[in-house]
Amino acid sequence: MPDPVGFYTDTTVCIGCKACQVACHQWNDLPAGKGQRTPLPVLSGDSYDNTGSLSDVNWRHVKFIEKFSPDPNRSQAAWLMMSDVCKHCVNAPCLEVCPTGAILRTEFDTVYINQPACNGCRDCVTACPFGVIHMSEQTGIAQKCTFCYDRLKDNLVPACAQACPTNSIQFGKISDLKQRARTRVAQLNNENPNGAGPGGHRAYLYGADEKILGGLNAFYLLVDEPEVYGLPSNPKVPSRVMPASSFWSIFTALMTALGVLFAFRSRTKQKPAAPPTPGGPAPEAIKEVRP
Amino acid sequence: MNPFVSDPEWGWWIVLYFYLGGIAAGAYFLGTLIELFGRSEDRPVARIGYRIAFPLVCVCGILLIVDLERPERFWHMLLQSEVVDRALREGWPLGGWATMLHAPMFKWWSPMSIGAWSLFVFGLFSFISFLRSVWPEGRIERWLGRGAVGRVLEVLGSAVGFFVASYTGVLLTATNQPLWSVTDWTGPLFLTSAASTGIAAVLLLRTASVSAESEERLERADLWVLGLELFVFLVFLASLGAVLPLAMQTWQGWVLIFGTLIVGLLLPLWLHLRVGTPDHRRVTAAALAALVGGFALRFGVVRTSPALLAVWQRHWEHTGAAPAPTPLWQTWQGLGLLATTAVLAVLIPWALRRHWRLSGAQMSLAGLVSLLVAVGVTAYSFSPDPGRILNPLSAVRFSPEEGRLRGGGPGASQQNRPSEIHLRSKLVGNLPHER
Amino acid sequence: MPGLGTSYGRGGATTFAADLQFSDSIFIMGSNMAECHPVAFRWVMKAKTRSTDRCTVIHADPRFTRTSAMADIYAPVRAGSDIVFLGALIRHVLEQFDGILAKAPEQRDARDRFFHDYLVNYTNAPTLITDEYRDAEDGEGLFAGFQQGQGQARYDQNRWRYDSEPRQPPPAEPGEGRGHGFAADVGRLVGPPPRQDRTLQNPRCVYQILKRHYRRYTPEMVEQVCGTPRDVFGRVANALWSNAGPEKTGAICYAVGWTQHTTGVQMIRAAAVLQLLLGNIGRPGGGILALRGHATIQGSTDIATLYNIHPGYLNTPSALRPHDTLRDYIRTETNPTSYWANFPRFIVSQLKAWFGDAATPENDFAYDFLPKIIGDHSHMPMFIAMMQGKMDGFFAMGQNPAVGGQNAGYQRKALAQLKWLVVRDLYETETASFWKDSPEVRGGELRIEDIQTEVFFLPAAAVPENDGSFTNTQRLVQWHDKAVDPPGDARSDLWFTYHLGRRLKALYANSALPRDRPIKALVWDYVDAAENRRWRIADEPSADRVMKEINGYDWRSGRPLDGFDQLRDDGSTACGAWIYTGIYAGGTNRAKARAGDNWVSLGWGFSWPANRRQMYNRCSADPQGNPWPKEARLARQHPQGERVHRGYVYWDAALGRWTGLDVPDFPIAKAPNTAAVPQGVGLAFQDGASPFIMKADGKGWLFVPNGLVDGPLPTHYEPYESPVRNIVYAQQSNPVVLVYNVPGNPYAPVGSPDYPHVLSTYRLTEHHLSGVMSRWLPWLCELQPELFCEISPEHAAELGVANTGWVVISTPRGSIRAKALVTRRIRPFHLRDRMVHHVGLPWHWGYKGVSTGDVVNNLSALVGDPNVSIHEAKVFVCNVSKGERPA
Ligand SMILES: Nc1nc2c(c(=O)[nH]1)N[C@H]1C(S)=C(S)[C@@H](COP(=O)(O)OP(=O)(O)OC[C@H]3O[C@@H](n4cnc5c(=O)[nH]c(N)nc54)[C@H](O)[C@@H]3O)O[C@H]1N2
Ligand SMILES: Nc1nc2c(c(=O)[nH]1)N[C@H]1C(S)=C(S)[C@@H](COP(=O)(O)OP(=O)(O)OC[C@H]3O[C@@H](n4cnc5c(=O)[nH]c(N)nc54)[C@H](O)[C@@H]3O)O[C@H]1N2
Ligand code: SF4
Ligand code: SF4
Ligand code: SF4
Ligand code: SF4
Ligand code: SF4
Ligand SMILES: [Mo]
Repeated sequence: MPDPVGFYTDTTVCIGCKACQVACHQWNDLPAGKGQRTPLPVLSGDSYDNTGSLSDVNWRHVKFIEKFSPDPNRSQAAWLMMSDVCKHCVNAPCLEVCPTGAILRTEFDTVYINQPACNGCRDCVTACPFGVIHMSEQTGIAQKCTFCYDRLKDNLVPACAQACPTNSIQFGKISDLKQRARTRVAQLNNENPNGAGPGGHRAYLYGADEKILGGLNAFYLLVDEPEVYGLPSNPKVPSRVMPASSFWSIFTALMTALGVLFAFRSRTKQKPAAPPTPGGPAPEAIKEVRP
Repeated sequence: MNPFVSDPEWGWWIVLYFYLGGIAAGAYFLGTLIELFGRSEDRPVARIGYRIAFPLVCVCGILLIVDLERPERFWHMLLQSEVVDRALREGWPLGGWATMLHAPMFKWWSPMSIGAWSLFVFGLFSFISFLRSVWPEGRIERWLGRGAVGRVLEVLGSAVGFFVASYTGVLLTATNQPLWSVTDWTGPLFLTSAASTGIAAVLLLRTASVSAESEERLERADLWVLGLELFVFLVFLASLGAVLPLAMQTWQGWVLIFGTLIVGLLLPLWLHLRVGTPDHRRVTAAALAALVGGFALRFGVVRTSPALLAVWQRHWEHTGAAPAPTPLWQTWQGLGLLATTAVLAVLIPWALRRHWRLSGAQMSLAGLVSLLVAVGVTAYSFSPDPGRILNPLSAVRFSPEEGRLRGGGPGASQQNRPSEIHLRSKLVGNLPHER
Repeated sequence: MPGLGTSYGRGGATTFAADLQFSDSIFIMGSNMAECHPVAFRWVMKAKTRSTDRCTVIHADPRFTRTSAMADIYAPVRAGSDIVFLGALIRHVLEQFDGILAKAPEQRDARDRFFHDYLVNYTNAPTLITDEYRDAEDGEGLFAGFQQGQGQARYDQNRWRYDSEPRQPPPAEPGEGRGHGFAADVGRLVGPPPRQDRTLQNPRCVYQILKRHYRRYTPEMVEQVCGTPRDVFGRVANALWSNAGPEKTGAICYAVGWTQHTTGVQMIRAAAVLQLLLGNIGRPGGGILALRGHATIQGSTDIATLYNIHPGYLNTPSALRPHDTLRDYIRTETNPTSYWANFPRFIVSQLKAWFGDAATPENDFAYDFLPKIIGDHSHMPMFIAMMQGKMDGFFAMGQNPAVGGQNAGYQRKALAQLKWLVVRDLYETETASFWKDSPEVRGGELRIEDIQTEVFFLPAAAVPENDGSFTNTQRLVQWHDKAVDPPGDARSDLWFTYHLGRRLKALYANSALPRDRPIKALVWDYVDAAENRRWRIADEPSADRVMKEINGYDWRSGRPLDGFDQLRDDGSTACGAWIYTGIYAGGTNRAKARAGDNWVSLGWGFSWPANRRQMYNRCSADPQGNPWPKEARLARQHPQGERVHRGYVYWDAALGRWTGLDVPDFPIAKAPNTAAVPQGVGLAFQDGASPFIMKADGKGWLFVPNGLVDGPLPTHYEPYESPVRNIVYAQQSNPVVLVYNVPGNPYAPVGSPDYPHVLSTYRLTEHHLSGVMSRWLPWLCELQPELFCEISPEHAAELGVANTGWVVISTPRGSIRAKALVTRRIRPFHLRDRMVHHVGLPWHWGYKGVSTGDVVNNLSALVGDPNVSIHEAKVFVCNVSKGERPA
C-alpha cells in the first residue's frame, strides 16, 4: 500500500496566479465556467476572484481576501490569497453518507468519486462541510477534485502542484509535508514576534493534526481566522448526531404510541347510539376480542 | 452554524416525499396500533389507514427516483452497482451468484442508505396491509392478518412505520447544512408530524363504516398527538439556538415557525378541544388544518436552511464578521419562545383537564410532558451552543469513518469498490514504461 | 537598455533569476514581478522562505499588487516620481560614505574597507570631470551644453567629458587603401587616460559631483513628490544599506514600470548608480534583473529587429553620421580602450556572414550594401509617417499595434492610410480587422469604402509548431524543438521571411541596378532538406543552420567558432552576432543543453556573452582577486561536482588564471595587479581591477560622460502629462523629450483641471498584452472576464460610483468605458501642493476574441523618451466620470 499523500499549501507564498486553476482545467478537460446569463462569468467585484466558489467545473478556486484599514495611509495592509480544493478528509463526511458507495478512499488515502456508481442523490453535497462537491450540469454526477488519481497511478505529481510556480501547493507524503509545515510555522512565528498575519495573527496549521475531521490530507498554513478564508473552524462528521437523534426519535415514538393507545382505550363521551354495524357484533357485546 | 457549505438543491420532490411519506407512515402505524391495542369496532379506521399508506408509499418511491439526477440508477442505493456489474459479467443469472450475494448495499450509519431500505420494506408491509384492507375476508387476511403471524407483522409494521416517519428528520440532521445539522429534534418532530398528518388524512377520508364513537377516539388520538407535536416543535425551535433569529430573517423561516405553530398545531388543537360533540365540519377543518400545517413544517425545514446561507453572506459583507452566536434568551425571538412555552405548558394540561376529563394517569402524564418540555426549552434557550447539550450520546462512535486514522483502512467506503478505476489520464498508454 | 548599457557596458540584465535565492534584500520597483514574471518570482519566494536569515523583499509601486502582498515592505510611490525616491536612497548611501571617508584608513572596519575599495576601484568615482561641466543643481534642472534650437532640443555631451591631458592630433595616416586590417586605425583612436583623485576630495571628481547633485533629494522631498510616508522610506533605506557590504548583497528588479517613461532610461540609471554605491554589481545575490517582456524580447534586441541596431548591438550605419566608408564607420563606432576595440572583427564577420563571397576586402566587405538610416524610424515616428501617407506597406508580424500601440485610435487610422498591410498572426487580431471592426469604423468615423488598405492575413505557426530559441530576461538562450506541423497553410515566421527573401532574389536575379545588388549577394541558404524529411512541410528553413551562422564559423572550413576571441577582421571568419559566439562551440547547439544545478547551471542552455551568468563577476573578488566573505561562504556551501571553489569568481595564483563557479567576465589570464598601459589598445588600457571590460575606462559609470542624450546623472522631471508642477527644479519635464505635435495627438497641459487624476496602465497575471494570446482562450477569460478600472473607495465616493459600476475614463486623445473595481489597494496620494487620485487600467482588452472590451490605449499619447523613444504608457492624466453602460 503506498504511503498516504496530500497537499501542504503554504498560503503565505501564494501569489494568486491561478496557474493551479488552469492546470486542473487543462488536465481534466474541464470546460470554462459560465455566467448565469452570459457565456463568460462577469466581473465579480470581489477583488481578483471572478470564480466565486468551487463548482462542478472548478475543482480549484483561488480566493483573494483584501484586509486594508480605511485610513489614507492604509496602515494595516494585507492581501491574503489561498487556493481552495477538496480537503480529502481523513474522516470524510461525503464518503460516510454516500448511499451508493460511489465515494471511496483510494490506496493513496485520497477521496475519489467513482463516476459510474453515483446516482446524483446529492447527500454528499449536504454533508461536505467545505461546500466542495457540486453536481455536473452535463452528467448529473457529483464532481470534485480527484487528487489526479490517474496521475498518481502513473506516479506523477498532480497537475496543480506541478504548475504552482512558488511551491505554495506542495505535494508529497503526509509525514514529510507535516514536518516541513511545522518548521515553516515556527520560522514564521519567531521571525514575526507580533504575528505574521494581519492584525498580529500568528501563523498556524489548519488540518494538519487530528482535530479537524481526523486530519485533512490537503492541509493549510494560514495567518488569519479560518472563517476569513471561508473555512469552518470545527466541521463535524454527520454520523455523530445519529445516537442522540435516534434516541429522541424512539422516545417520541413511544410517547406517540402511548397517546394513540390512551385515545383508543379510554371511554368516550359518545353513547353508542348508532345501530350495530351490519355483520359486526352488538356494541354492548364488544369486549376485547384479542388479548 | 457552518455557512461554507453548498446548497444540495433539495426542492419540491423532497418536500413532497417528506410530506406524503409522513402521512403514509402515520396512517400506517395508526392502523397497526389500532389492530394491536384497539377495539375491533375501530378496525375500519385501521383499514382506512392501510388504504392510504400503500398508494402514498408508491408515490413516494416515484418522487425519490425523480429527484435523483440519474433516476435510472436509483437501484444503486440498494445494490452495489460495481458488484452487480461483476456478477452480470460472470453471466448472472446463469452464473455469478456468489458475487451477486455480495451485492446488497447497506450502510447502517448513513440515514440515506438505511432510509432507502426502510422505504422498500415499508412498501412490502403496507402492500400486505393494503391487500388485507381491500379484501377483509380474503386469503391474505386469513393467512397474514390473524393470529400470531398477524400480530408479529403488525408489530414489525408499526416499527417500520415509525422508522420511516422519523428517519427523514434524522437524514437532515446527519448533514452539515445550516439549520438541519444544528438540532437533534428534526427526527422526533417529523415523527409527530407524521402521526398528526396521518390521523388527519384518516379523519378526512373516514367513511360511513366508521362509527361516531371510533371517530371520537380517533379525534382524541389526534388531540394527543397534536399536543405532543406542539411540545416537540417548541423544543425543536429552542434547540436551533442562534440559528432561530437568523431563520426569522427569511420568509421560509416564517412559514416554518408560524405556518406550523398556528395552522398546523394551535388551530386543530383548538378545534379538537370540543371533542365529543359530533360536528362533521369541525373535524374536517381540524384535519385540513393539520395537513396544511404539516406541509408548512416540511417545506419550512427543507427550504429555510439554504435561505440561511444568503442571510449569513449578507451579514458577512456588511460587518466583515460572522453573526454572533448569542444565546436565545438574550434575543427577542428567544424570549417570545420562552413566553409561548410557559403559556402553553399551563394552558394545554388545563384545557385537557377541563374539556377532555382525562383520567388521573393520563393527566399526570400530560403534566409531566409539559414540565419536561418547559425544562428542555429553558435549558436550550440559556445554552450558547444548544445543539449538543442534551446529547450525552454524541460521544458514541457510530460509523467506521469517525475516528478512522490516516492510512488506516478504507473506513466507510469499503463496499462498492470497482475492480478497475476508469482512468482519464492523457498519458495512459504512452508513458515511457508503458510504451 | 542604454540605462544599463551606459552604466556597465552591456544593456542586458546583469544577474539571473535563480541567483535571487541568495539575495539578502530584493528591491522590486517599476515592476509587478509576481504577476508579470510569476515563474521567475519563484526564486524571490525561495529567498523569502529560506531557513537562515531570510531575505527582505521590498516593493515600491503606486498600487498594492500581488507582488506587494508578498513584500515585507510596501512603499506607495506616485507614478512618475521614481527618480526622487531613488535619488533620496542614493543621498542616504552617500551620507554613510561620508562617515566612512571621514574615518582614518586604519580605523575603518572590514565593511568600511569593502565600500571604499569597491567605490574607488570599480567605479569612476575618483575620475575628474572637465571644468566646463555645470550640474543640474546649479542649472535649475538643466546640465551644461543645453541647446534649445528651433526643432528638437539637444545637449552638447562634450561639456560632460572626462578631464584629461589635451589630445595630440593623430599623425597623418600613411596612404591607407581599403581592405587591409583596421588595428592601426583603432590604435590611433586611443586618447590619454582621465585624471583621477583617489582621495575623492576634489570637487570635480565624480563622487563630489554626485553628492552635490543629490543634495536636494531629501526624505521630505520624497514625501512631497512621491507621497511616500517618511517612515516607510526610512525602512526601505535602512533595509538596502544593512543588506549590503562584504557579508551581504541585494538585487534590484525592474520592468516597464520604469522603462515606459519620458525619463525611463534615467530611472534605470538611478538604480544602476545605487547598486554600484552599495557594491552589489557583479556579485551573487546582487545585480540588476531587468525583467524583459515578451518571451524572447531580449532575443529581439540581441538579433535585432530594431531599425537602429544590427545583431550584436552594432549601431546601424547612418547617413547623418560619418559612416560613408567602412573605415569611417569603424573609426566613428569603435571604443578603442575596451573590449569594443574588436568592433572591426564583429562588423566584418557579420558582413561576411550575410554577403559571403560577395564581401571582399576590395569592396569594403560589401559595406555599401548596408542601407543607411536617415532619421528616427522607431514605432511612433513610423506611425506618424504612415498617417501622413509616406508609407505604402507595413508588416505586423507578431505585433498587435491596434491595441498595443499608443494612441491606438491614431495608429488604427494610420493603418487606413497604407496601400497594403501584411498581418502574420495566430488569430484575426484587432490589427488585421481594423478596417471592419475597429471603433472608428463601427462609430462611423471611418467608412469601410474609404479604406484603401489591402490586408493580407497570413496564419502564423505557433511556438510548438517550429524549431527556434527563446532568449529570456537573463540572456539565457533556450532551444525549443518543433513538436507538430502547423495546420493547413499556417507557416512559421522563419519560413515566411526566408521564402520572401528567396522570391525577391529570384525577382532581381538578372537586374543590373546597383540597389538590387545587396539582395542578389545575400548568401541566404538555410534549408536543410534532410531535416525536413520528418515533417509535412518540406521547405522549412533550418533554425539550426541560422543559429550556426549567428554563432559564426571559419569561412574556409565552415567549422563553428568556439568564442568571439577567434573572430577576425580580414574576412576569414563569418559571424551573424558576435555576442552569441560560443553557443555552437564544438559543433553542438548548447541552447539545447539541459544540465541544471539549481543555481549557476552553466550546463543549462547558453547565456551570452560566453555563457557568463552573473555579468561583471570580477567584482565578486576584491581588487587583489580574493573573494569577498559572502562569496567565500556561498562557494563553500555549493561545490561544483567534487571541486570546492574559494569564491564565486577569483584569481587562482597557482593556476595563474581566474576561476570559480561562473565563467569569469574578465581576461582569463590577466592578473589582478596588472597595471594599465596608458597607450594600450583594448583591455591593455585597463588595469587588473577593472571589472567593466566593455567600458572605455573599465569602471562602472556613476557619471555618464557620453552615451545618453538627456544628462549624465539621473534627474527628476515630471512626466510629460502631470497633475502637478515639478517642485524639485524649475524645469518641468525632460528638456529633450520627444514630442509629436501632430493632429490627433493632443497633450493635457500641466495641472490641467479637466484631467486631474494620474492614470497608469499595467498587466494582469491572467491575460497577455493585447490579449490575443489570452482573450481567445475561455480558460483564461473566465479568470478575468471583463475590463475594469481600479479606483480607491475615496475616489469612488467622490464620483458616486458603486463597486462594478460603469465609469467613463477620458484623456485628450479619447475616452473608454469600464467597470469600476473599488479597492483600498489604491490610495489617494497627498503631495505637497494637492491630493492626487490614482486610476489603474489593465490594457489587455480589444474588440476581437471571446472576451472583448474597450481599447485602453485609445487614451495614451505619442510621447517618447529621447534615448530609445520608448512611449510614456505608465503615467498620464485622465478624468473619470460615472458612466452608464455603453450603448
Ligand atoms: N501575465 C503577464 N505577464 C507579462 C505580460 C502580460 O501581458 N501578462 N507582459 C510581458 C511584457 S511584454 C512586459 S514588458 C512585462 C512588463 O512587466 P511589468 O513592468 O511588471 O508590468 P506592468 O504591470 O505593466 O507594470 C508594473 C508595475 O508598474 C507600476 N507602475 C506604474 N507606473 C509606475 C511608476 O511611475 N513608477 C513605478 N515604480 N511603478 C509604476 C504598475 O502599478 C505595475 O504594478 O511583463 C511581461 N509579463
Ligand atoms: N498602455 C500601455 N501600452 C503598452 C504597454 C503598457 O504597459 N501600457 N506595454 C508595451 C509593451 S512592454 C509591449 S511588449 C507591447 C506588446 O504589444 P504587442 O506586441 O502588440 O502585443 P501582443 O499581444 O504581444 O502581440 C503579439 C502578437 O503576436 C502573435 N503571435 C504569437 N506568436 C506568434 C508567432 O509565432 N508568429 C507571429 N507572426 N505572431 C505571433 C500574438 O497572437 C499577438 O497577436 O505593448 C506595449 N503597449
Ligand atoms: S472536503 Fe468535502 S468533498 Fe472533500 S473529502 Fe472532505 S467532505 Fe469530501
Ligand atoms: S450524489 Fe453521488 S457521490 Fe454524492 S452521495 Fe449521492 S451517490 Fe454518493
Ligand atoms: S489534484 Fe488534480 S484534480 Fe485535484 S485540483 Fe489538482 S489538478 Fe485538479
Ligand atoms: S498556482 Fe500556486 S501561487 Fe498560483 S494561485 Fe495556485 S497556489 Fe497560489
Ligand atoms: S507565462 Fe511564460 S514567460 Fe510568463 S512566467 Fe509563465 S512561463 Fe514564464
Ligand atoms: Mo513588453
